[in-house]
Amino acid sequence: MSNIDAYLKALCEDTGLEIETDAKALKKTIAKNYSRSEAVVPAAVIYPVTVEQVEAALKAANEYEVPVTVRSSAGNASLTGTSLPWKEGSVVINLSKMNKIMHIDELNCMAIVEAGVTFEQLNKELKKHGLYMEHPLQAKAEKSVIAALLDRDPVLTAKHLWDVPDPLCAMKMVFGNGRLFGSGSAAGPGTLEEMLEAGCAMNQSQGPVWLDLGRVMTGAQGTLAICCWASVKVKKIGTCKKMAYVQSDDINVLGAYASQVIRRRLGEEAVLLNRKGMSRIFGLDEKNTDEMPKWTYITSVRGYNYFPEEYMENQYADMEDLAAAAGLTVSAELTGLDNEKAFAVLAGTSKKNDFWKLREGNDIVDLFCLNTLDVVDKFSVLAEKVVEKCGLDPKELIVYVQPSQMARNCHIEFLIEAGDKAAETEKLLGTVLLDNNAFFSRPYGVMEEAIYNKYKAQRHFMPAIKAFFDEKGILNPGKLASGYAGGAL
Amino acid sequence: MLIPVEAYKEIEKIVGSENITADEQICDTYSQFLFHRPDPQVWWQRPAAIVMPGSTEEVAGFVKVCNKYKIKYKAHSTGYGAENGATAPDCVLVDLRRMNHIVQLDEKNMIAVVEPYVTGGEVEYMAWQHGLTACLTTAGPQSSPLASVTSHQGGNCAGCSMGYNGRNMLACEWVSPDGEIVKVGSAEMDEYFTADGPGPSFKAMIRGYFGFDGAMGIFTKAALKLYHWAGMTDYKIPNDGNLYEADVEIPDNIRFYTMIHNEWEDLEKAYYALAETEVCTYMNKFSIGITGQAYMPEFFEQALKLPHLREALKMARHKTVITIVGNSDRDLDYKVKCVEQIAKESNAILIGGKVDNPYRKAQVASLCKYDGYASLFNGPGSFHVAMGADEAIHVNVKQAQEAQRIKEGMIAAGQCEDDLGCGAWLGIYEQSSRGHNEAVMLIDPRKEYSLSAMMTYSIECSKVLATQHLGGIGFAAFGGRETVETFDPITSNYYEHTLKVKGLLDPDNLANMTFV
Repeated sequence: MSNIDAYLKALCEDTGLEIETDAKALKKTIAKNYSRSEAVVPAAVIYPVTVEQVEAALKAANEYEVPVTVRSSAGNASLTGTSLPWKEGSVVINLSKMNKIMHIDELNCMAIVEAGVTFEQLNKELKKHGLYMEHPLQAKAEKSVIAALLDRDPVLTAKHLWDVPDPLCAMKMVFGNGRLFGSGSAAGPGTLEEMLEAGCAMNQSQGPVWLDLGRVMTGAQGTLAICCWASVKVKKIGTCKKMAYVQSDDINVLGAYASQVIRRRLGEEAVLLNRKGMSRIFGLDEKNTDEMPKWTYITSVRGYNYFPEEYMENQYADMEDLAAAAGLTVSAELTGLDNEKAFAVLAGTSKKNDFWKLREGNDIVDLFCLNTLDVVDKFSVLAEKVVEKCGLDPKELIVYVQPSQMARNCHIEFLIEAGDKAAETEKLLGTVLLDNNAFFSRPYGVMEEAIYNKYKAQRHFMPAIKAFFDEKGILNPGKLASGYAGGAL
Repeated sequence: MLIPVEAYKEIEKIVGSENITADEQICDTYSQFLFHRPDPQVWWQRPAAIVMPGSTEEVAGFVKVCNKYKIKYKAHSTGYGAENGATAPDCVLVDLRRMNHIVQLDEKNMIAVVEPYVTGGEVEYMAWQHGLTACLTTAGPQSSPLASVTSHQGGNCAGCSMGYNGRNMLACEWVSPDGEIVKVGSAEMDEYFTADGPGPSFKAMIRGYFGFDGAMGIFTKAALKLYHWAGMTDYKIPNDGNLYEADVEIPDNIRFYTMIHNEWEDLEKAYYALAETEVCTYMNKFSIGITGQAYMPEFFEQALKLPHLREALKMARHKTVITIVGNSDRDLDYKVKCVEQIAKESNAILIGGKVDNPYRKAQVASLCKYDGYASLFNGPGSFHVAMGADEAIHVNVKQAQEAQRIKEGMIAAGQCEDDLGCGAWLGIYEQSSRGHNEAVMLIDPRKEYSLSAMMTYSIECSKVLATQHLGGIGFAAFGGRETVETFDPITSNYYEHTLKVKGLLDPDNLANMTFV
């Protein structure tokens, strides 16, 4: 009996887990690999529904030395390839059936969700409570909330991003070695039920004491532990709202303005987009975007329980004053864009099977780094030159800038549909950006090795981190391999 | 000499003979730290030697020698509590005072990069000139913000608008326990805008919630998050440094209030509203008992003997001080309206407004730089902190109520100083429903009963926390071995995991942990 057969037999007998082994169904699980990373058909997919089942599945995987890949989101699409197995004989632990919204706390603005809960599902439920979840730009409707946040996908409200991993807080996780652990409030003392009964909001992400292991596992691409449930901060919808648009051809001026606005805690969701980005995200037709300045800063303003209209108008007026000082103008409307639609785009997820980054049949280049607002101009110019050099039209390049941590840094994303030039363009663009000090804090795919070769400092310790969580290396083998290969400890 | 002569000579070669000593009298001056525990053998250690490296390279060279000879060491920046002291007689104390530069202040991106001996006051002064402010702790302006963001919890009265320092570090430079110089996060490209990546967050391995207090390598540079500041750019304290004589010009866009609640539930309601409206730049509940005992002990002692006065003081024991800063006239008007409305809705007495008298000026100045608190608690050893982690505001209020109940029992039994029972230092963090509570007890280290009361209080508060599930372990960690044993099995075996992390990175345990 092979390891995998023995593993599955043991799991079936001990836990009653739902296990998929049908070859046709298994093949389907890797059918929508939009990354340029390789993937292999898994030997089985298991569907736990409890924390105990996840624990059992990982303990058994350690015993039988079966490689495990984790998937939390519904569906089978993968943009980065992280949730697809790379090693033959892997088992996929699919958490999409752990999809309970466990708790919503209106007073403390918190929600507790299982790993399979999607943005669409959570926001639908939160709305009934007058709340909403801040999420990445037009997040995939079927994307797991926890998976996106663990991946440090930036959410839209920089002023609420005090630190990583906001808005993610406490996490119940199973380490790669099969041990159960609670990070932050999830550690206890007591069970979740006991803590909720005592009134806890589970809103502490760090701890206990010397530890911050939930944060360690962010950006780990499923190689350290599996998060079974987590608490997330949510926000009040508010009683009134307004949109604000500021445009400029000079991203340095607009970026500096955005920083001044956000540091004063003005506005809520806020993004910077180039013309093509405006067209793709907000559905503006090209006639409108062609006539626009090159860059647009879009933000929403909301009013809440205390003097809502006054608060909202004050915020807007303060933005106007700052804009005037910077030689800019704030507009309450944008030609060709309905404000309700704009608000819905910022506050909502994408429609099912219509994610803004994916267009069926088109090979995309999607590269993103984390830097500061003052380098967006330089990186954008470089990116335009690279795509042109690769025979693509620079006007088709989407540049999306997401200020984060109160605008101390920002996510800068370049996306273009590149057809058969995608691999070449991605490699060249990635290399040029890396050479110019782009900080790829979340390395994926073809750039991973080059990124770890440039940023070597932490590689010394990466094996120690891996050993702490997953000494047998059963979780997502092959992913972040360059990072884990470099250590000396 | 308690360290090998060969090792001493090797260290001397690295830092220079003027920057190392094993002179017992000098070493004695580094042994006077008492905080949170009474055990003299733990807290009153004379270090084996003092080393003063002047650069990261010297720190790395020193740590390598320590590894070679298996010498214990402890990093010490500006020093505050026992956590910066030697924990064993053969431990070398690393005094980082020569590393005292503000490396960078990046106004555009709101970041300051500092070395260990840069003080909070220096950073704050420089930040103010750029319309920014740093998150200083109540340890005072003389203390090291690097130590706070890298190695301790970092609670403060600005938590509402700036969080706590466990979440205020971006990238850093760190000398690992095996003597490697490691640039964490984006520091590898000499930019300090993020601590995390590439890939998993290594930063979170070496700086947890409370920090390792110098027991996890040595941090040599850290990027502090700065925040927007529309307040004053300077103030002067003349003569003998009495803050109440400070020549403080407080701008018109600042208001100072004292909000007094008689009932806990009213205070709780107000805190949720203050969090929702995001109006406070500084806010914290101070206990009238702690303030009275600390500032005017003789008067307070007499006052408590008079029943009527005692009751009057009790009525004012939930006192919250609030500073608001308007970014514009309309912003200031809105914030003032909110504070007044919240006070009304929560049955509070609201005193204050414009900062136009010496008391309010001193209070505002004190909150901005914590000069007042540093003078109040000028020697750790004068107070102790118990209770749990940050949680929902109403859970932190429950913690405070339970701590009050425990202390009232101890006061009635004559076991501790009478401060009317409530010692809650309570606030909100990050303009959200996350609260923070420190159950403060004043102590007199000269009196045995006072030290004994400190431990009783700490342990009893821990028991309540554990049995009533009032948030995570937090400040209960200061309770020592007994609380570790209570909490470890019921708190995800956190201590076992901590030792494993420590063992992986510092297998010989050369940088000693403190609070165990």
